[in-house]
Amino acid sequence: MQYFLRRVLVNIPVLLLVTIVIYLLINLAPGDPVDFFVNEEIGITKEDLDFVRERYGLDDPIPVRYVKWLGQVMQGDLGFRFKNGDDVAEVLAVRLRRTFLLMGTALAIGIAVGVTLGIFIGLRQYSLWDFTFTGLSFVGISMPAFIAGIFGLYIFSVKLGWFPSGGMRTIGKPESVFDLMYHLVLPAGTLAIFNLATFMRYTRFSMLEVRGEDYVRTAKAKGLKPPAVTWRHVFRNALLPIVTVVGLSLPTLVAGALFTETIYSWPGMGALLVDAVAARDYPMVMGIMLVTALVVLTANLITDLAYAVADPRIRYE
Amino acid sequence: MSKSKFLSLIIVLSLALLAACAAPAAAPAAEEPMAESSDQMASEEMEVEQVLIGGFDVGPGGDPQGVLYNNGAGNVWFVKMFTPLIIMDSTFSNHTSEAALAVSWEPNDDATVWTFNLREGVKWHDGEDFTASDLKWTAEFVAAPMAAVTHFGIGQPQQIVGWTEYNDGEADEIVGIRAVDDLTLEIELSSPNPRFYDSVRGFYALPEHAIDFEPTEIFSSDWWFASPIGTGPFKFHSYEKDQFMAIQPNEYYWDGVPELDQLINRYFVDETAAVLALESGDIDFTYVSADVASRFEGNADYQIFSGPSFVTNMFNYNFLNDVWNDKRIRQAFMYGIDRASIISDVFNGTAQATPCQDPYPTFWPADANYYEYNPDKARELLAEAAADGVTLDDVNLDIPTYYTSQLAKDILTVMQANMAEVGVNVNPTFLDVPTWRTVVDDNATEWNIAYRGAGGGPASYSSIWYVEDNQWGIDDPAYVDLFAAMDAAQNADDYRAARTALCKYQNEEATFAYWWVSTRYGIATVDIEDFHYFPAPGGGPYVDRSQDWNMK
Repeated sequence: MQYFLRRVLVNIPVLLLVTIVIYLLINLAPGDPVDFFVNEEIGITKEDLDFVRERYGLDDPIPVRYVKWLGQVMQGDLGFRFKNGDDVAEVLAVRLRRTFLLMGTALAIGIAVGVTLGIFIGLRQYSLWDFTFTGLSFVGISMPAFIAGIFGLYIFSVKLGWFPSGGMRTIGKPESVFDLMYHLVLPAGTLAIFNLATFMRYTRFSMLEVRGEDYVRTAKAKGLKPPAVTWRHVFRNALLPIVTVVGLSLPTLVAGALFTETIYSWPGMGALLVDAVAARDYPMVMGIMLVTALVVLTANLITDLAYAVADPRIRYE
Repeated sequence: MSKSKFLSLIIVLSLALLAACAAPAAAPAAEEPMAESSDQMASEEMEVEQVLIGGFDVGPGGDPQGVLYNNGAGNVWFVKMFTPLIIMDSTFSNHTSEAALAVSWEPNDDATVWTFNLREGVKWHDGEDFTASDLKWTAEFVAAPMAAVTHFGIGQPQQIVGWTEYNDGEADEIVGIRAVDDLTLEIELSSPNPRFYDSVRGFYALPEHAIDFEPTEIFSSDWWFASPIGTGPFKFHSYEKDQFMAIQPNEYYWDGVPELDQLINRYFVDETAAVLALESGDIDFTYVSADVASRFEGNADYQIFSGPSFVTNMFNYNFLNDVWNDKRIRQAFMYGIDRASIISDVFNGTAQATPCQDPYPTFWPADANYYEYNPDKARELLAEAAADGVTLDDVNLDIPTYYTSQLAKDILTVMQANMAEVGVNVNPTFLDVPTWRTVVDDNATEWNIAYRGAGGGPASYSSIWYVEDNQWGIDDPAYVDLFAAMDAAQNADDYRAARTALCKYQNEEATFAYWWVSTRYGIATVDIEDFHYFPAPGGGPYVDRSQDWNMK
């Protein structure tokens, strides 16, 4: 408990530092939010832009604006989007829910199938199964998300017509979990390919490493049955690297996947961040970054705690 | 708690969270005047026979989930629910303004007072009568101090008597806008403008009786997505954030109730996603870029709509740097770049060379110089200028642009190769709009060339690029005279002659490098009948007669 509290306290200044750095970077980038109000093909006067800048408080120095933003955040107010006046917290709540569903499903499939296959081929080194799945995993890891997304959409939606071309629901039909799942299959499947391949590779490697340890040989020598050796001695000890990789993947649950969300018109956090940065929508960018930083820090903490669960020898004193 | 229980708890909580995220959103509270619910939509589904789903905000003229008076784009969709005072003809090509809320308009003798006679029998979607007072109220609502509106729907609104005072908070109303009676609106200008009617094509009426938010909330109010009320052929039906907006026939529409049961605008982040949705049959229409449009040619399942963008793509020179004041240098770029090849090979013939900044061929002089590709002539001009001490030798010129499509990259790559052949190093840089604006607008003399687009109306031509305090330092009295002659023209023939003279001068001087007007496209399935789309700048507004659209 003491360890947990200490880690939480250490994370507070880290979080503060992260917000300062991000606020500086986004404000030092060329351009400012009023550019959203300019349609280059139509034009606008400088006076109009100056007026908008004043209206949004953008004529204050950066440190003043940061302190104002931080003061708002401390009171639980993330502010409003410059672009359209939306409440940043509300936008985040909606988008996080969608992204968590997409990324969570992809991650769950990746862990379940990837780890299972990793164990399977880890126990069959240099077999046909091993070569086949290892080869496929290289394809999965190497294929860029936008290529996999476009292929998936073209084959399964345009050509075969099995799945919708994007979005989160069938327009005009009642909202239902089944319809949502139907729309989730292609984007989550696309993302799961990478996750699956990654977890399979790590699990295979970890299993092979542990299988060569002395204590595994001892376990076999003392007459334990193969399943007991595999699950109690090999897999249990192979878990630590897998826990690390899963922990590192947790932030993607909120960060989203830009290309997949774009290709499948899945309005999640990835597309939101790009939209916010392109519009220099500082409150939205800061809101996203704050949530992402929080999740990264929390994920790191959970990962560390999970080590102790996976390996009883680890103690946090 | 044992560690295995802890692990189990984590897994169960994660799955529960995932399931919670998958559950449909909670229905809005009973007292909230929110959009029609999904179940209501579903119950009506059996009765809904004609539904047209399109990506109406895809492409450069779109403004997905935008609201009126924000950035001037999105008119393809806005005009379905709201109506402007007057509207452009269906293709822009006739350059005529047609009746919309106003059925006729005329100036007084010196064109300082314009009278707009409004259509009888126009009703708002809720059945209330539309009157001239709504237009005056709209003008004052969007021009209110601190409303932070930048596109007022009326071009150069400062020309209206009392507008500036009202906008500055020094007056209670815009005295130059008067509702004479329910069907007559009068607008008084501080100086004569025989073509003022062209300035009100984006002036959409808003309902005073149905708007319950302040001018400062114009871009943040839920009204636009929960209970918008206009006078257009369709009225609001439902909206799902980031997904779609559905509209249904307005039974009060003055030009007949639309044939479609529902018209739905689906939002896309990316054109490719919209095209794939079209090909998979999920939508019936979307904007597409030129290279994609060519894929649909000859396909009997689709109908292609095309038209000039009426945006001139050009090199903007920065005259604050002396080198650009030398006409020979500017003309060397015109001769040195193989425009005809770019149009035929890169655009596949889907662009038209323009002699000047004016995108409307009506105003192009018959004897314009199109600067046929002549690298020898370009070298000669550069050498002459160098002999007088004006040289681009050993200079690496960046060409920042906000066009980032593959087409734009191909164009600028060819230009780079062409100019390298005549000894000038140019380096295209592809930026997002905010960065581009910082480079070009805020860095006075640090830039030299910018590749950009410029639009304009067929009856209005702003002089800010060439006279007054233009930001790139053009100081040419001839332009002052040419724009003055254009402003003074009292009839269409005089105006055409004056605007053609301006074009001729730009062409001869090669003030900027005016390249082309590209063609833009929309693709619809053949299932839609009597459909019309025109890729106008900002989406129009133009006459599309959406009330006649129907599905086979």
